[in-house]
Amino acid sequence: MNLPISLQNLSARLIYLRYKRYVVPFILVISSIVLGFFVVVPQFNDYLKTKAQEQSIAEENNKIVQSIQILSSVSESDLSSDLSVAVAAIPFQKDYIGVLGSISEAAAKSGVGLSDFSFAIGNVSKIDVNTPLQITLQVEGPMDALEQFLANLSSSLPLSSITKTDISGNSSQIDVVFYYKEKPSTPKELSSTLTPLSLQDKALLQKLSTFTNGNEAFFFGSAVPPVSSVETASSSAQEASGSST
Amino acid sequence: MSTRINLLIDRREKHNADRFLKFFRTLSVLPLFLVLVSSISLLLLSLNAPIADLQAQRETLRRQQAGFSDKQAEYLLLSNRLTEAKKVVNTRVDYQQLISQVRKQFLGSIVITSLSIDGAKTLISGSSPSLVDINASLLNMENFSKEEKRFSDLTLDQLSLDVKKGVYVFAMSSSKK
Repeated sequence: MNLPISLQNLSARLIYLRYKRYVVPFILVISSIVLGFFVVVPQFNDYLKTKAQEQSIAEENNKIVQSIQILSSVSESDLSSDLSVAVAAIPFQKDYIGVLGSISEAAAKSGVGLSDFSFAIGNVSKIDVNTPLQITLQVEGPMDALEQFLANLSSSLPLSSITKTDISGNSSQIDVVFYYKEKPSTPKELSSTLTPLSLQDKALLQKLSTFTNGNEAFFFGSAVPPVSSVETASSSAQEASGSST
Repeated sequence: MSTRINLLIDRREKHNADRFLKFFRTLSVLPLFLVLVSSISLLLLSLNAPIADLQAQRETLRRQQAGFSDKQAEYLLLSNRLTEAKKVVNTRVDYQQLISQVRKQFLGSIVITSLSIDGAKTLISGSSPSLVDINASLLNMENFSKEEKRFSDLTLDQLSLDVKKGVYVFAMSSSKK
């Protein structure tokens, strides 16, 4: 009755006896693989994370060092003067005084007369804070003087660009936009990266510093506004698009 | 019934089996050794990582940088304004130069009565008692368009004779696609 079971046991015992010398090495190999998976691999991942963190901190430190070097190399007075030029070029808000000053100064220097001009502002409460200030100018004068006026306007601050000219005899209508951009929020983190000013930036700064500053011209320059009327249109955007004085 | 059954294990076979076992035992220890060495090495590397030093250095640098906070704010503002200024300066069209160049194409007796430039579209009208001058000016404008690539098309919209004034009146338009 027990013969089949005995035979099974016998064959199992025979197999065991035959391969018992391989059992321990086999268990070792399996253990190594399991240990590799559950110990070495996580350890390696942790090591990689540590390395990445180390690299990130080192980079951050380098940036801070670079920032400190840049800030140390710039003199306070140069920075203030450069900043005042740059802010005069692109003010933080609509700079009506600067705009009037630069238009008036350009007109005075070129000998053209300004009969009327209108500001198209739009709905103040709805308008995007960074929308350029559009102005339509009625300029009286010969074409040579007008050319000079345009050149003067291009080389004055705040920065402007002409979008349309309509010259008819000695009378011209010119559409100009003056740019401004709101002040960015001051970076809270002191680790903000500073990059040195490029040669292009320095050249631009140099160029801008030679431009006529509309604000200075308005207060201290020769520019007495040769305008017969100045009207600020503060209406809705739709009305503003067609507004004129 | 076969009488050639060998109940003894072949010596050579036994020798091979022993060699294989020895090799297998050696091989089985090797991964364990590797795992051990790797684990210890990684542990040492992680423990020796200079993160704490770097963090301390960062704190020192930040304190040093804090002394320049006002200057830094000004510098960041300057960079920001210059970026904006560059956009304007690099994209705006020099109307003075454009008007000057266009005017230079009309020589002789030609009088430009109106000149309108609106973005890519330019409208010019003028008059002259001489058709030769008008012709020369048209050719000049054509060459100017080709050389400067300022305009992609140039159209003579009108050419008529004003009998009262005794001048030819012309109007032309050009645009850039």
